[in-house]
Order: sequence, then C-alpha cells, then structure tokens
Amino acid sequence: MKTSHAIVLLSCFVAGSSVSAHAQSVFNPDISIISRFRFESNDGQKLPEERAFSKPEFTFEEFEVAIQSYLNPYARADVFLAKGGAGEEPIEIEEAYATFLKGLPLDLNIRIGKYLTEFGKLNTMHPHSWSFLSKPLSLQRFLGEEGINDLGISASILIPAGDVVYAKLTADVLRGHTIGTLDPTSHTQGGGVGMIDTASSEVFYANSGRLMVFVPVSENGDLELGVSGLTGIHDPYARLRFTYANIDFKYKWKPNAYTSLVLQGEALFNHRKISRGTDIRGRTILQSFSSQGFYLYGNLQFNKVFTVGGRFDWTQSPYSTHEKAQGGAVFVGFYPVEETAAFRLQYEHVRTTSPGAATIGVNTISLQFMFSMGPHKAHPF
Amino acid sequence: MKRIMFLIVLATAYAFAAEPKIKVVTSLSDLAILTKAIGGERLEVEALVRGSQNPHYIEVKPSYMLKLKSANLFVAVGMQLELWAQQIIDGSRNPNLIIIDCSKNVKKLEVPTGKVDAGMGDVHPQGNPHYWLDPENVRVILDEILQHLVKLSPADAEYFRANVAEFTKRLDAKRAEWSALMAPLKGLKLVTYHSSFSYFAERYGLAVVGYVEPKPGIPPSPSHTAELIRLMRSSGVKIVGVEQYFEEKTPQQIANTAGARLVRLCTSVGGREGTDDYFKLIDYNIRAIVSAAKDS
Repeated sequence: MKTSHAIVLLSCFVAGSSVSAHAQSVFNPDISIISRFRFESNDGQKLPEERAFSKPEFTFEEFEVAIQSYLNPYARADVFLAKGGAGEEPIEIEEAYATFLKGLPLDLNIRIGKYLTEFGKLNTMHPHSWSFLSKPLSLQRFLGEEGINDLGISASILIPAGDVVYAKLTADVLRGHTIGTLDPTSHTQGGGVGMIDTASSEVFYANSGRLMVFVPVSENGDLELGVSGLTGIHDPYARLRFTYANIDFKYKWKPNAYTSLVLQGEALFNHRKISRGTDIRGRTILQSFSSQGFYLYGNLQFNKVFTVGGRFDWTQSPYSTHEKAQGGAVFVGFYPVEETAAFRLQYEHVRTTSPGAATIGVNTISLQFMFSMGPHKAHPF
Repeated sequence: MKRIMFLIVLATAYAFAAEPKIKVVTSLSDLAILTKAIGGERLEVEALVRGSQNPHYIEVKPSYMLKLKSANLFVAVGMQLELWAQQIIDGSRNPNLIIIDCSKNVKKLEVPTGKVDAGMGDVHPQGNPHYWLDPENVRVILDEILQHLVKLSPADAEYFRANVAEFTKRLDAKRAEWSALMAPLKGLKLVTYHSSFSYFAERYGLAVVGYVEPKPGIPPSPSHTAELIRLMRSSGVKIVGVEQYFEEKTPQQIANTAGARLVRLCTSVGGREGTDDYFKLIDYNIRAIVSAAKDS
C-alpha cells in the first residue's frame, strides 16, 4: 500500500515537474547568441615610407546576446547585450526596449527604452547583418561607432498610401546624451565636442524622425526610400545645436533563392553652430557650419553560398569641410551551410585628408568569422 | 439639379448596399486556392508566397504587412513552416486579425522525439509541415477554414458549406482517379531534394529512401552525395524528384551517376506551368512520377 502511495506521489511529482518544465519552456524568452571574430592587418601603423602590412591580429569583435519575448498579446520586449573583446571589457546593454504593437489609437506603435534609432537605413541594423565589415565612413564620422543608440521613446504611424505603397512615419524623443561623433582632429572616438560630453547636468533632448516609403517595383524587386532628420545640442555649455538630414534608398532584386542584388546608399547633411573662440569683449563667436557625407554599396548573391560586393564612401568631418575621407571596400561573403555560420573577407582603402598635412592612405584586409545560435529574427527587408 | 441629386442618392445607396468582402490573406498559394473554393466571390483572397518560392525562407517585407493590415483572416500552414510570419503579423498593426492554423487537426508525420536542435538541420519540432500535398488532408484544411469563415459571416454559412460540398465531391472523384493511377507504383522508391513529399508518398505507397539535402535545409555536401548515390544504386532508386525552387545541378549529377531520372516536382499551386489549381498541382506531380517510372 505504502509502495503504491509512493508511486502515485512520485507520478504526481514527475507530472508536476514536467508541466512546470513545459510552462517554463513556453514562457521563456527566445535567446540567441551571435559572435564575431576578426583577423585583420593594415598598413597604416607606420610612416608612409616604411609601409608594410602589420602582423595580422586576431580579435574577438563582439559577442551579442539577444533576449526576445512577447510581454502580452499587445507588446514585446527585446534586449541585446554585447561585449566587445575577450578580455575584461564590460558587458553593455546595446539595446533594451519594449514595443507596444497593437491596440493603440491610430494603430500607433510605441517603443520605449534604449534602442538604435530609425535614422537612415543602416543605423538600426546590427553589424552582423551588414554585407561589409566596416561601418561606412560618413556614418562613423557623423554618428560615431555606436550609431544613434540612445534612451528614448519612439512613436510610429502608417500613412495611408493605397494598397501597394507602404509608408511609415517615425518620431523619437531621445535623451540626447549618447550621440557621439568622431572628430578627426581629436583622434578620439566620440571624444570631440559632441553630445557625448555630459559634464553639464542640464538635460537637452534630441529629436529624430524618419519617413520611409516601400514600393514593390516588380515581381522580384522592391525599393525603399527614406528621409530622416535629427536635431539636438552638441555643445551643452554654449547650447549649440546641430541638425542632421539624411536621405537613403535600398533596392533589392531577388528572382530566386540563389540570386539577389542589393543596391543601397545614404547621404547625410550636417548643419551646426560652432564656437570659434571669443571676441575682444569676451563674447562667443559663433559660426554656422555645414558638411556632408555619403556611401553607396552593392552586394550580389550569385549562388547559394557566395556573395560579392563593393562600397564607395566619401565624407567630410562634422566640424570641418577640410577634414575629408574617402574610400572603397570590396567584400566577399561565404555562407557554407546556412546563415548560422559565415566567413567574410574585405579589402578596404581609406584616404584621409587633413588641412596642412599630407593625404594618408590606409589599406586594411579583414577576415571575419561569425556564428549565430538561436532564433534571432531576421531584419525586415 | 434634381437629376444630380438623384444620382448622388443612387451612388450613396449603392455604396451602402455593396457589403465589403471578407479579406483573407494566406501564406501559400495552395491555401489561397482552397479558401477561394469555399468563399467564391464573397471573399477577397490573396497569398503572400508565390508558388515558385520556397516557403521556408520568405523575406519580411513591409508590403506583406500592408496586405495583412486590412485583412480579416490570415490562413497559415502552421507547424512552424512560416517562421517569418509573426514579424509580418506584428508589423501589420491589425489587432482584429484572426489567424487560422490549418494543421490543427492534421495527422502529423515525422514529429521528432527528444530534444530538437540546429544539429538536426531546419527540422520542424511539430513535424513535417508539407501535409497539403496529401489530397486527403485537403478535407481537414477546408474544414478548418470553413469554421472560421462561418463564424465571421454566419449569413454566408450555407453558401460556404455548399461550396465545400461541391469542391469535396470533385476532390473525391479526382482522388479515385489519382489512386488508380498510382496503384501500380506502390512501393516505388525515390529520392527527393527536401522532405516535401512525405505525406504524398505515404498516401500513394511510395518510399522516399533519401534526400539530396543531408538534413532539412542543409545544402548537399560531397560526402552525403556519394553516400546517397551508393544508397540509390543498392536500393534500385530510379527517380530523383526536385521541388520547383531548388537548383538542378547537384540532383542532376546524382541522377546521372546513379542511373536515375531527374523529375521536376511541384509543391505549390502556380509553382510550375500547368499547376494553376490544386487538382492540376496533384495531376502534375502524379503525371511526372508515373511518366518517370514508366521510362526508367
């Protein structure tokens, strides 16, 4: 009798455990991991007359963990943690946001948290989904290495444009502190006079917006066009404002599973007030300043496992029209099994011009390997 | 003036009288054809995936979200075939969208036991989702869609049921014809590129002994190809069936080396010429297999 009771109890316990385990697995968020490793050499570390490629360096580029789940039938949350390097670099919250997808007036979508802002086309895409290995020069200089990735709130609305054209308007209010720019004169990333300078305790919000239009142009071809704007304070002490405007396009032609062609480009226009010292009465001399940059790239998938592409970059500096950089890259992608493992090879040439200095050209060869585990969702179009 | 007023009143009355149609978006063209068979002119039906596309890998396009935005129903195969669909559903911002999973009452094949991971390829944890290629399962699909349509528009219930009855009658006649054609081939061994024809093969007593893919969704490797050729030779396989969206080069090499014949099969309505509806789709596949079996 006792034995049978024990069996019943044990059965109940086992059944209970399995129900609990099932419930746990059902309600657990999706977890994905993407790791990128790089083997790289360049010839820019020595004086021009001593040019030689450096000994290739093996680096752990980034380890990204994506945790994604629905919160309820109306909202979902996405968290991306990232760690660059294999040493003691900190784990950073790359993105952490909730999106309210349904049930709001006017079919609004609201996003709250820390996220890559919809400014241009490439800014919202994580580097593993790029066709190339390096960020376009214009985006490096104007948006910084991390892009526009800030705390904020975003609202988007679909604009009625018929049954074929998809039009979406997104507007963001951002904390405005973490938008860094690369100032070539300071030789630091995000270390120039930019919004990353948070020594001022005053809060200056930044505002961003994007209008995108998606048009299927043929049975196998689609075109996306976008216009974006961003404005904020870049010098909190002098309260100097900057404004970026950006236009972007992406065309993709995919006639079958083994062939596709992507053409994409963005042009960014910068306008800002810059302090040029003080006059004899001690008043700040302000100067209005404009500069710009753009990139264009194409990527062709010509069979199941290989892609090949090229990119052209040209940009000025956020603070000077004389600080220029231009370059080009060619890249090959090899996806031997699926997109869960990829090898990408890139050759890049960048020429940088500074006032009063000789133009410097740097060649870089990079080989990247990356793998992904788990159900990380594909980036839409 | 009176005439203008009359025309305005007439136009307004017409606008109110013409009831908006139920809008249905399906994932596959096969489901669109079956939904149209039930709803006739009282539905507006559109498929996201063309018959020539591989339904496992569909790009998440904003234009698909737009289609779902104004839809009443989204009809899906289910069993995780349309892993891409959730992003499109979310992007549609349509809180009233009803999602129909047609696999609910299907007797599922190849349901994996134990832990499923990527080492098994793109295996579907809930089983093989290509069940619509068994004509017997069409009844289950029709029933699932019918139930939802009746709930959505009870006034049209009789019309929908009559259409289902008519379609089923035609299907029964074709099923008898297809069974008769396939009966002599019972036990026929073949190889396919992907496991798309498991339900079809089970219905007609065919034996799919191997796949060009080493694992679902994994491109063929030289070692697997060599192993497959050995298997085909030793088992006397004379047919290599290739779905419409796969490349032909590797399966053709396999067929040539193993002394077999390559047959282009079709998994979805509109995927190849002459497959404009469900009956023609099954006709096409049966004709292709019967003809290849005769020649080999």
